[in-house]
Amino acid sequence: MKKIIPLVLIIIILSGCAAVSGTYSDSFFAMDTYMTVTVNGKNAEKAVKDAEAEIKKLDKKLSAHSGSSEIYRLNKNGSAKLSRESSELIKQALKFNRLTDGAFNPAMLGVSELWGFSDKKYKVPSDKELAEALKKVKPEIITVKNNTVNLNVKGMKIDLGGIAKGYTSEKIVKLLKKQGIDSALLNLGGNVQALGSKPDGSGWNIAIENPNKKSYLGQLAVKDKAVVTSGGYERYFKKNGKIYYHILNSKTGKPAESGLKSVTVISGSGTLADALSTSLFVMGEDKAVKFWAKSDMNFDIILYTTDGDLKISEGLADKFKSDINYSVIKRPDYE
Amino acid sequence: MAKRISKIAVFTALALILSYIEAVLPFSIGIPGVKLGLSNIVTVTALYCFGVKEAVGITLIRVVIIGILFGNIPSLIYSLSGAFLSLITMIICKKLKLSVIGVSAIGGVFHNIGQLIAAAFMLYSEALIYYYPVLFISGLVTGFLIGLASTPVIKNLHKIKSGS
Amino acid sequence: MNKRDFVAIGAVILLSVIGFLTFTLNQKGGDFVKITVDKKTYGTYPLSKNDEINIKNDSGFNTVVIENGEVYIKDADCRDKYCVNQGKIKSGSIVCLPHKLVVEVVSDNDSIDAVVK
Repeated sequence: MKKIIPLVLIIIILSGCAAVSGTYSDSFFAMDTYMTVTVNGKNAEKAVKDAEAEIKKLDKKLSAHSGSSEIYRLNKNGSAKLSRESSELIKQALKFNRLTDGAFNPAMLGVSELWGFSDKKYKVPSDKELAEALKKVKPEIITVKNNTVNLNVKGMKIDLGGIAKGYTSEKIVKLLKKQGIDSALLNLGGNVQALGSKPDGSGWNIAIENPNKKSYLGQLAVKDKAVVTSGGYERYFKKNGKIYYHILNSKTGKPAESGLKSVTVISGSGTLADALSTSLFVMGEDKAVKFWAKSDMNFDIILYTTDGDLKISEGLADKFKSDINYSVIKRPDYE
Repeated sequence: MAKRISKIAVFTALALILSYIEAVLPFSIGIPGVKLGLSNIVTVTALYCFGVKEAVGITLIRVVIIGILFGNIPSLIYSLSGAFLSLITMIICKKLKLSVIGVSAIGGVFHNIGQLIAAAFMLYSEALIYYYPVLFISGLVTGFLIGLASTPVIKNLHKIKSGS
Repeated sequence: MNKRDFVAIGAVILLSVIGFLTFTLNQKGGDFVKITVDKKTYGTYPLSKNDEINIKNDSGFNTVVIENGEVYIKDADCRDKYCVNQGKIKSGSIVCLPHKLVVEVVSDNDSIDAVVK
């Protein structure tokens, strides 16, 4: 009997060692938000640590607010030679600016600063101030050559905040794939990107926050997709009884009041989902639906209007669950 | 003494084989967590033919070995709490002079209750309680079947005992 | 099987039904509030029970209040008071970046892996 005990112990210890494969999850603060990275598979812990390091590295390069970032340097000097990642992302941002006819605008930092959205000292600027600031918003004339970016307008300032998290999640997914990981979930402060499916083969369940924060708009199971929501409700201030949301319309320089409360974009590309969610929010329902219907890019949308209507695009019809009544937008209706 | 140990060993081996059979050929009816628990035949039989100590020993060895071979630490904890709550209630029921089938049926129910309690503690989840009716009925039915199967075994073993 | 068996099994069934009903009828939502400070879990509190939790760390303080099934940050000494302005929530999370504090509503009767916002 006494001989059995060490044997049993050895078996227990050995079986413990065999279990290197598993789930590892870690949360940390980066890009002004709270992030959680979950990885399933072999060497999950190392993969999560690598992802965290990469995110923090990108944060240092891409933040418009940190004095040591490349973007800060570019904004200060008007032109700069940047790393491959930064110039690549600027190119992408300018592409979405063109595609969305200006609804996505990475050159609005100067205007946003007038409202105090950068330093959180909120104020309502005068129309004259806004008009002055808008004169310097000309993303179409920014040039990018061999990683050298030239803003070409004195005082124009770019902010990649509307696309950086999506770009980062897309980049991390590529990094994880390279390490042989086929199941992971990145939650970069509410920008979510899934790699593969859960270990049991089912999709990742992603809930979409209701702007009233009392429930969810609904949930959907996704595999290999990024899900990004834009809505003013995440950052705003009140002055004299009026609420000012942080997503600005680049035509007026004022908070976009387009009749939408939130827009969610689901796509294989995190960059696309991030950029388009902001763009469609600025466009408003009609333009957003037309943009979706006519686009040859592969993505789906969920729109929630200020009137409380919930609409999803047809590609989500069999994946979306909600307690709220919703309607399905079909592409042929808009062709 | 040696005879007792060899009896326990044979019974443990039998229990392991039955657990193994069940692990390889699960009698699944599509509800997770519901299984026949064939090795309980051995536990019930040991309780009647040997006694409490032997039944406890056989169960402990069986659960730990099966846990190591086929499961992980959580599944070992589930099995341990299920097996022992079931065993304790069976000992009480036997003292109350219930039949083998009655003892086994109630043992089956408490086996599942024990597992549920362990799961609730480990997952901090009260929602598991909604699973209770399914586990209760399945425990009763499988316990009944195990009792049915154990009755002739116990009778014949007693015959052998008195015969030898 | 004898009479004792039926009595015993009947008693077990009866007790089970009573126990199950009392438990499920008294159950008020399985939601919890999980508070994390600098990646470490500070505590978990039922959303159904009113409570006030004062959290102090090196960077400052936050007062988390659970009230009528909702949770909010009543007061904090951070610069932007962004956490206080996020208001009352029943789902999702409130984050106070300067204090590395996360207040999360964790629901155990669904299986949501992430919330987009």
